[in-house]
Amino acid sequence: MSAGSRAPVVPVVPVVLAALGAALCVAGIFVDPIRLASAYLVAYVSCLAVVLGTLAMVMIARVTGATWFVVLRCQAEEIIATLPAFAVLLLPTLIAVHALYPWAAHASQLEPDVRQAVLAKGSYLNVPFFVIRSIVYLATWIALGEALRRASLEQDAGDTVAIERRMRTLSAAGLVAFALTISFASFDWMMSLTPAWYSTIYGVDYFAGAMVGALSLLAVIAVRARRRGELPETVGANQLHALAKLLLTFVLFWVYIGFSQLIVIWSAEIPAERVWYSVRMRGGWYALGAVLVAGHFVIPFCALLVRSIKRSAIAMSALGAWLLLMHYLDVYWMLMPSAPHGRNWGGGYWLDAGALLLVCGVASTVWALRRAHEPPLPIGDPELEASLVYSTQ
Amino acid sequence: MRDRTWGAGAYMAEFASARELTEAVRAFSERGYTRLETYSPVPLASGIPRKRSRLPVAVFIVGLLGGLVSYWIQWYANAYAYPLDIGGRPAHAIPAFLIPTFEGTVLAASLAAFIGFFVIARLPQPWHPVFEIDGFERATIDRYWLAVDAADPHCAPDRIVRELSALAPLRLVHLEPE
Repeated sequence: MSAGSRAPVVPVVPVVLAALGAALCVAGIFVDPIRLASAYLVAYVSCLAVVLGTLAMVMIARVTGATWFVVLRCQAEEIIATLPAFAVLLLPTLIAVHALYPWAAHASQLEPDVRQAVLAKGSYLNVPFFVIRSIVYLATWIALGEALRRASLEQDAGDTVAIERRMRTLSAAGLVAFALTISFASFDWMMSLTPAWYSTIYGVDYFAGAMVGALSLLAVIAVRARRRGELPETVGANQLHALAKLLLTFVLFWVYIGFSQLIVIWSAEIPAERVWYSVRMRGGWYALGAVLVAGHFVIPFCALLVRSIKRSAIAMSALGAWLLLMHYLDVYWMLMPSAPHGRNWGGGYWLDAGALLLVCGVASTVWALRRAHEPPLPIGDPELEASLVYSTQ
Repeated sequence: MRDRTWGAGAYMAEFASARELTEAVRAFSERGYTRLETYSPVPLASGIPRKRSRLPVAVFIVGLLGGLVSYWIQWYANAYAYPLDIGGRPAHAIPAFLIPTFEGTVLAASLAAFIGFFVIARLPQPWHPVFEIDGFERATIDRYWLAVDAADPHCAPDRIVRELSALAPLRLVHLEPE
């Protein structure tokens, strides 16, 4: 960091991490490209989920007029600002589509039952339509995200009430579009790894994990912003308390949705439906599932029942970081057993690390660059005063 | 059951504004009074600093017990006492048992919260000493009342009347012990 310079300095740490990740990924192309493609998909989808959850949170706060969230909105909108990066980051997945997805592979390579399902779903599961849909999803999210961000910056300049009303309408419509796009994106990018299997709740499951990840990241970032003096003195335990209560809700929502999917399939015990769980109920995948039940539900649930934890900056920051790790493992558990060669797993974890570093590094570089010139507080928002003195008492 | 409220009587002062009441409360709690009660037609901030309710702890424990009992009763009926083989399904079917366990937890916890609240708030209470004061019903319209329990360790009859009078209330009422 050069002294006296007001230009945005290059965010050193994210760039180094991205470069390190890129180096590992390039090496991976030569060592095991298919394993790398799976690792990259997990990294991409889990990081994107956090950003999408944040987008949903901003829209929910706009629609409901959540006062407590106003002081945190700029921090959230800076996370949303990374969405264009995710459009670029999707490219490797689209390039690897033939290696990753059985429906894109040659029909002769498929097992008979899978081949039948793939042929039946051919009008939906084909590469051109898959690419078009992917573009539609990302275009929708980027359009929503940029509109929300621009409105927030315009509010700082002027006609706050009219913009507030416009954003409420946009967010209400945006949430509908968001619900559809996130569901179909999870069907396309994730569930279609097993083309013969389907679960109608799959998109909601992905969304539940996304919200947990988003609120966890917000907790980490809010505590960081507070420590660095980006947020004023009055912001603290009360806003964190509100955030933590919502996080508790979504931790419960996540386990509720996950269990709903399990109980429906477990009760019916239909072979075509249970394949997805059969592979996950064995060996290492079973152990990882148990880790998720404990780490993604029991531990955060018990911790978030305690009032003093919900109001503590250190505790919420640590819990947020922990849940982000769990969120990644959750997506890992959802995708990897269905990935090519996923049944017989072992090794290659450096590729997982490389892909995660690349995606996180690029996203945080864009985050750091785009937030450099933006105010940390929505100074034009009519609710800012109320939000600064918000109390959960 | 005889109500335990104000067994030693109480001193009450009526005010015309919320500001006077909150100032009175602040002054009295600074002097060390702990057994204060207020009556106001609107919710007021910065009132008496209150202890946090213990109800959540009770709700948690009862909820936990409700879950354990729900699980146990299913295990006892299906896996222990009357195991039936239905299509080769496991008698001890953990996923299936979890749903009633969840429901039992919620039922027990919400009953604990509901009943616990009534017990702690000493409700239902069809009669209360304040009802004997003429015009007290204006506490739901435009009057603000402060009540000091005569059993307050800080409360001495002469001083309390003097201190309440100093606040210039509209009325000063002494509720005699029964």
